[in-house]
Amino acid sequence: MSIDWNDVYRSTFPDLVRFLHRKVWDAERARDLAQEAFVRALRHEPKRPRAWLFQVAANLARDEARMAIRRKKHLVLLKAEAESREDGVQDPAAEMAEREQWGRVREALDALSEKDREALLLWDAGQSYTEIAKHTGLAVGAVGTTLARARRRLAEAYGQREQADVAR
Amino acid sequence: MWHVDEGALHAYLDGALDEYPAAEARRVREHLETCAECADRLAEERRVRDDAQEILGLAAPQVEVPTFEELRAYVRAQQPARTMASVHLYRLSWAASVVLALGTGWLLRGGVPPTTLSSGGAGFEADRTVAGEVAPAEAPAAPTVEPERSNDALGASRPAAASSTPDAPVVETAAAPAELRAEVAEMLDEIAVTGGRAALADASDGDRAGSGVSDDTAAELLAADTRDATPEPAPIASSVMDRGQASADVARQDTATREFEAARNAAPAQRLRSAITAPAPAAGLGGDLSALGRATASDVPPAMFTDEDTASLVVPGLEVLDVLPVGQGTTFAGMRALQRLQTGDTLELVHLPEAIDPASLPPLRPGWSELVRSRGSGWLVMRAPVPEASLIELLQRLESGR
Repeated sequence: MSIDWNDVYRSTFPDLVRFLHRKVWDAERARDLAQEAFVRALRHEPKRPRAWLFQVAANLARDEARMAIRRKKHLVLLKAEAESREDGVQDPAAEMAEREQWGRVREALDALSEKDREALLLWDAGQSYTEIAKHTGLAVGAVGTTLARARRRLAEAYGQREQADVAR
Repeated sequence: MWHVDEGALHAYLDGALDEYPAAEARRVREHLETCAECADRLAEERRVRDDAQEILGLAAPQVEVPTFEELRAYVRAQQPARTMASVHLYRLSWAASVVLALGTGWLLRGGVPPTTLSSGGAGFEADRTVAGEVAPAEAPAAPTVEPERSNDALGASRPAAASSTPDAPVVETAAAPAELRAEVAEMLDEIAVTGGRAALADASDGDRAGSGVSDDTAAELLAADTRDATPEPAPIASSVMDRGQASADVARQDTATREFEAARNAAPAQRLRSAITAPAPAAGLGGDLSALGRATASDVPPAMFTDEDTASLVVPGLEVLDVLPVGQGTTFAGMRALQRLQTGDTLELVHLPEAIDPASLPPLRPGWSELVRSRGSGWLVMRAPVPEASLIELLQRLESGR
């Protein structure tokens, strides 16, 4: 069965960027890594592209977090193109507010265990329970419990950080 | 009275009940229609779910996305460069890994009596423990189910003793890297003299088809008809074979060769699984090495070898039970190392080229954890009957080389 890669790209790329952004906390870098995952997918043409892409993306994000990986030429090129379209559109105050908000969300996510966080981010990126189970090694029946715990912990942690910011 | 647990409540809210067994999904739905207590809990869990989604939505990235055609054009533009240079380096790096793996196995074998790490020793026993007795070697992978979302909601077993000889020396890899570096450097010197320069010369041609690892999928890779391949042991292979086979038990090797042949004749889709799960070939290196000769000896320039490579194959400080390549004919499908954890359990490390989907490996056994990481131009899969956190620690040790 041939894969409609155009369709896979349109349906998966935004989810992949969303997933990666919560891991690298840099929107452009998340897009770069998503592109890298797709570049690899187009070369290898995996049979289950969506699951493959998320697995590769997760590994890329881990590598990214572990070390400042060298920026590959093709990513830089794509990024340069995008930057030329985005020049000077961000308001500094809005950017700072956005950064602060991201910081709270990031800290709240950091309060989760690795497995809970992974499951939650995969769900948020549109993965099914079956896909999450495959990615994390959980049983399908355990995904709901994991998500319930992750969501509750995220809401609690975010609330605590919000209160701390207000108190300051 | 039975009530729906919070996991099933979230599955209901997420529209994922259809991914549960049908009877269980029906039971949950029917219960939610009649139980007021669970209806209240459902409302509470809905609030938690909505809060979490809202929080995650606060950190939604705003990025422009290149069109698919832009991406495709870019990949096409990259293709010539990849086929000429990067594919070759990619293959070379994997070939280098094989040599390092073989070198590791050879050196470690060389340091202990044959009974310790030969096919009848720890390597074989550990291998059986890991792969053979709990799950059949040819067990098919679990079927993949990827249902669409509905709109509902709205053994671990311990390896055998390290040696049948009570006072047999234990191989500690804490000291191995330095020795290994020296020994493998020596081996690579041999390659440089015999095959490495030729390989480097070939690199400029960009014509590397037919050797090493292709960019195809695992099944395609493994489907390559290796029966037509009649690899000649290349210099490094010969060198290692000479030394390794000096202490090998011929009878055991025959047995392993038969097992290897059986695996080789298995259906392509099952070859990787069987190669991974089957007992190690006798003397570990002999059977596979001859087949891997072309892909290793002639392709590895000395420049590909670094200290980091040496240290990154196994977790330092843990006893190495076995290191063996996984592949058939000239097709290299990966490298597998077994190490003994301090608990006595077995740690399995499988290094795969990028083109091979780690999902091709045999299913994880109950009670085992798994880590899959991309490393360089390939994958590392770590499996052991320990919690995932322990695997993460082991991964950190492997990567730090300490």
